[in-house]
Amino acid sequence: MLFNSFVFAVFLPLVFFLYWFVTHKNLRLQNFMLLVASCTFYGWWDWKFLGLVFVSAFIDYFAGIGIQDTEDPRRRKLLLVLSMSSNLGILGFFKYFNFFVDSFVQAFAGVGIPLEASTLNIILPVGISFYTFQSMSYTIDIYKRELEPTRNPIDFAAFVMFFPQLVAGPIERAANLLPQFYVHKKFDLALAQDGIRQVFWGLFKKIVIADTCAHAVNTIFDHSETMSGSALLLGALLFTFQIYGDFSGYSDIAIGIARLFGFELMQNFNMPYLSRDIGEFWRRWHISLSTWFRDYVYIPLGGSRVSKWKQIRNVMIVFTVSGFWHGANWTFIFWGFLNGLYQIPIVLRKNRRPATKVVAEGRLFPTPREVFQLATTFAATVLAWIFFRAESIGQAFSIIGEIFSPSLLSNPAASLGGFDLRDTVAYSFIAIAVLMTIEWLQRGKKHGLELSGGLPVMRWAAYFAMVAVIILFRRTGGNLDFIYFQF
Amino acid sequence: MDQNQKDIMRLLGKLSIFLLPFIPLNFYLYYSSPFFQKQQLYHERIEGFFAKPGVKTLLIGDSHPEVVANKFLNDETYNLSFGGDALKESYLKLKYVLDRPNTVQYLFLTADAHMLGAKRVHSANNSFMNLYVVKTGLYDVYKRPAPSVIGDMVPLFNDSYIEYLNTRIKDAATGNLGKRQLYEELRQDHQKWSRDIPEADRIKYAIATGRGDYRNVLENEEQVTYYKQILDLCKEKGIKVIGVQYPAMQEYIAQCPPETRAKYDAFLQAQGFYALLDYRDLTQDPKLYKNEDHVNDEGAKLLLQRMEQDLGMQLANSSAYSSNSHTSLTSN
Repeated sequence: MLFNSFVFAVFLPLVFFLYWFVTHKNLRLQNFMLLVASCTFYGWWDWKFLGLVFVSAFIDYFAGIGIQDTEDPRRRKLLLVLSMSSNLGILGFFKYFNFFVDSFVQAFAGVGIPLEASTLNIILPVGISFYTFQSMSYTIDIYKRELEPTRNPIDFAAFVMFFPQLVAGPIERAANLLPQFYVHKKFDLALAQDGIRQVFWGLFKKIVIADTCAHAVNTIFDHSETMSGSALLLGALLFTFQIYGDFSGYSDIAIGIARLFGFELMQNFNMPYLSRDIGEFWRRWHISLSTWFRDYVYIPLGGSRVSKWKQIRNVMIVFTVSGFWHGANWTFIFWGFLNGLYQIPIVLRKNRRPATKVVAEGRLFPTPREVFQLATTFAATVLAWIFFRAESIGQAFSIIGEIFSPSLLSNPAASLGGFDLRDTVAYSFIAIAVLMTIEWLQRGKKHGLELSGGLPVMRWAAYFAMVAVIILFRRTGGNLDFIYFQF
Repeated sequence: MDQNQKDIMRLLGKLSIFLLPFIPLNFYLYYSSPFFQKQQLYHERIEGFFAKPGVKTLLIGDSHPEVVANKFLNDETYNLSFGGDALKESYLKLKYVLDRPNTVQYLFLTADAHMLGAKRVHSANNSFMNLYVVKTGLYDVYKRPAPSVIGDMVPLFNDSYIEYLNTRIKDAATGNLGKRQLYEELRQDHQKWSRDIPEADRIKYAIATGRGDYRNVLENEEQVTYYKQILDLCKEKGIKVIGVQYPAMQEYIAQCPPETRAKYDAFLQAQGFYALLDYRDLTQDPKLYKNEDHVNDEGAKLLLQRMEQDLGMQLANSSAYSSNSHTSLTSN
């Protein structure tokens, strides 16, 4: 079930009504209600994969209790290994099996040894990378004695499967989300109002920005061999905003919906294209995944409390693995690796910029130095996104080669002429300009529509304008799925 | 009602502020927009079948068979075709009509190659069929669940209408609204084509339209599937299917690449039509055309006459042959 579908538009009010008007007097009933709703939401794609989520939750539920109930370090470790290996095993089989078989065969063929191995026709369950990571963090935190396990299977299953963030995050930590299932919910009007505003902001990013850009991006990347450097640069720029609008839009909708039910999810994006260096970018982009890797991979590897060379090693491991998390393709691995490389100067530098400090704070315009920092950071991310979007490393390099060729100075319309993309590209850039203007004016806030103060009539005018833009300028037709579902 | 519920009602009250203009605006658009007026006409065309008991022969397809207008057809013949329809719309209409009591024995099914080309994979008319998707329960055709189909009936949630509206907004912003109106007039004025358009321009239009229409013929499996489903449906109902290729300007027809044409001809031959009629080169007289790929009313009468002759069937009513333009019927 997609957030931007009519089915969901029926589903959400129904669940909302049942939650606040039928099950509101009993916490257990409320949680059970959310679990049923989450099963329906997920099962709408494929009921068969619901079993997989339950298997993952079942193992972690009992592993968590087992770890807590024993003081034997070996037994504790064994249970943790069982939890992690079953989660990573499920993930590895469904997401990476074919990739490993293919890569293995290609590697041997490369040294002249032909191997015969067949891949399997495996369907990737929606959101598998998100819920397995969320579930794993639960047992790791219990093992680290940072969290008490729950003894209520309904609460735990509701936590793992909480429908707003089940399929594309934010990847919640048990320490933040699980305790919220222990507290009887009271409707918080201010929270719900801001939740609705955030849902609208997310819808704008998804169905106006991302879906519009997607149309041009798909055409440009699908025909990259016939495109000029200027057209390919246009495609890379549009993809930069497509992926942002798509993914952060989903997160905004998820956070907003959770607020309607009285839950606070973690912020997943914090206006990342207003970052002044790549380190700041990664503290503002997919925050829930970055902090997951920081806490469960980077810090256990020694984090920043080791020599510079080991720090660099740790950073490279984290970013490469993070790239691999996104998908079973060398393009994602390279994308992660490249972002790791970007971090090296920052690791070598002593002072890091805090993510909470916004650019041009207290001023309307940035200084020339800030403009330069914003532009170079943005350019570096655009370059990396080419690898993320390309079908293969080879395609990515040939796109970059073409961008850095004299054809960069040609008129992109010459390449795009045959594809009827002029209007789409124009619409996309207008929408992007609106997005970035709002983000600039709202930097420091949690989302673009977080409006407080001022005349109510102005606020309402802004809400009406946003709804009108969503309705009138939404992209229609074609595949409008969220990109991150495939991860 | 506890405090929680009072707060929820306050929230719903605030949200209803959005509904206040939304509901009347939808009604206004539904009753005033040419898009929904066209939808009404579309529905009337379908329901018109049931107002004509005893129909033995049906015509179906897009604007090419639509030229054989119902005003020229006798009581036993009915044309369900509508400009812009793709095969999905044709299938749904037929399913809706033939699953109800009827006396249909023959179907004139469009056999024009462009119906299986890239431009007819999706039709802008698909939202006109929402009502019939619900009535037939065939949600799989557009791969949309019931809530989505029902939601699509609300003007501002209707994807096709939003596309239409966006085109109009863009035209207004770029000053092209007048040009579009002129083009629409040109497409519809039955005499303008031969009277006002120089031959060189007619050829230019024909080439451009033909190139677009014959792109990627037979390359979309779904189109082929729906074509076969129409034939299977008729077979199941015991209806004889006559494939018809409709007249167009030579320059338009010539845009279909020879290898595509050969492949397409083989495809048609394999479909087991009761009869296969090819009227592509029925006439090249510009006076019988309203544009490059549609004959005008006079051309339609000529076409109808030829269809009757070739099949030995009575299709036309008396008005079809009573006009004073009889000379044109014998042209070419």
